[in-house]
Amino acid sequence: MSQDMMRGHLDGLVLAVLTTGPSHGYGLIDALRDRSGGAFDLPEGSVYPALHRLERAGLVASGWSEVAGRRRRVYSLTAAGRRSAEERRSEWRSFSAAVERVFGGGEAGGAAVGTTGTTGTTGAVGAVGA
Amino acid sequence: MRRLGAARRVGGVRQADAAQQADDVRQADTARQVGGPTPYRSIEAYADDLAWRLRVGLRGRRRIVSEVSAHLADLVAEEESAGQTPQAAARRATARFGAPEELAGEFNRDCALHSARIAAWALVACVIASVGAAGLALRGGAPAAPWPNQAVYYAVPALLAQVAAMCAGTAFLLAVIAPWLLGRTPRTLATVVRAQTVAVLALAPIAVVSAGNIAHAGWTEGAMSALVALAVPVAMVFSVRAGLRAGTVAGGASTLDVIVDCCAALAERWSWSARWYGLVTGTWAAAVERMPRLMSWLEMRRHPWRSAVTISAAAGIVLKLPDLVFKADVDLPAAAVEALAAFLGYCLFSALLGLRTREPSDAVGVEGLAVGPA
Repeated sequence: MSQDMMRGHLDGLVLAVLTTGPSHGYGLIDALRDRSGGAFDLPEGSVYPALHRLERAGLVASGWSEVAGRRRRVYSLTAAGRRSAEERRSEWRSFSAAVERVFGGGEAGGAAVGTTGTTGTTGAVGAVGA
Repeated sequence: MRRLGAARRVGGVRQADAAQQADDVRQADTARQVGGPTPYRSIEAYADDLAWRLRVGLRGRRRIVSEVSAHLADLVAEEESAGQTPQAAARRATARFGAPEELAGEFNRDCALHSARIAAWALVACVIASVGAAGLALRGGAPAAPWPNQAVYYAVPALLAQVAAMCAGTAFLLAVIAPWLLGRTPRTLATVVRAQTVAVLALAPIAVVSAGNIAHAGWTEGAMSALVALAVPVAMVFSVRAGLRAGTVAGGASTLDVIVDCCAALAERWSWSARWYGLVTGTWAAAVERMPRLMSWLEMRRHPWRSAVTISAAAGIVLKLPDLVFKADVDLPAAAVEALAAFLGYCLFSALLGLRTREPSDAVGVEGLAVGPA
């Protein structure tokens, strides 16, 4: 996946990971990689500007704590962050469903042209898809 | 002999350090030339390099470096448990973490934007206070013998507050309103910093005049003058900090494009704004279709100078319209002066505020992201 595309959604993804519970940067990037099946393989440092940005926006709170014998800064969602994560999730779902319909429509159009010889808009989409 | 031996050993260690440093620099240069990640022999070297590049204030830098060092320590432990030597583990860990210049760049950009937002709020507050003080003075709150003299006391706030309002308003639109409406930050940091600089320069003489008249004025006017005299230096500090953190940011999106995007985003928020947006854009499109030549005089992105002349003339008429309606006073010279002032304002500040770009209205880039051609 393109890193630019990934970066554009990083804030939302970080919020989504934090909905499962507080985490430090290392754990967060690990969870991100695991939950994406290895598709999101960003430079690990890129999660920190996102975390600081979200904290500044009041969506995330943080504090130092000892985790497994190491001093780490642990991030957790605020109430506003939880709301924002939910909003982003529903926005993303409607957006991805629309994209899916467009891409899926292209394939369906192509199939329609191939099988029934339909002309008009569907045919045009099929031609573009082909 | 012992001393000589120790000196030789120290010298040998120094030579080895120097050789290692030179080797590091060579490796880093080679890596940069081939476009690969810069190798670091230790977490400390990486953290030092990152700290040197950060422009986020002392406390922010300390926090970032601690967090990054803790994360790198985890990565090194992970690499070592996978069988890497300490040096190889550090190299691999720092490569996985990403280039410090990119990381620092993102932190710096976010921090500069945050500072610019604070400065924008402060400047807007100063402008409101300045306009309030000028209004009170005009409504009889002025001291009997203003400092330094009558003309300066009235002219400086009246003229410079307009400039400050225009620049602070633009900075506020770009740094506060646009990110709120669009849900992303337009790539206009350079314009924001320029606008804030001019706003501060315009507000500084107002603050001086206000400070000089605190004691002579009545209680309300004196309090307002004191507010202006105190708030402007604070806003100045915030603006300078934002400017320093922004560094040498150049270019960016056009303010006109941001305004267009904001209008579209506003239309999506509420049904009444959608109706207004539809009405305005529909009317505009119909007018362009019917009178293409005439309407081209208002196309700011295609014909900036033509549209500036038209809008300035309209502004001159509109500003004097209340006199015409309520007092039946047709003051044509005053309307001409207002129009000239508006045009002069455009000539002086349009390029600075990103209002005179002839770029097409494609997507507004997002700060920190490459959207469309750079």
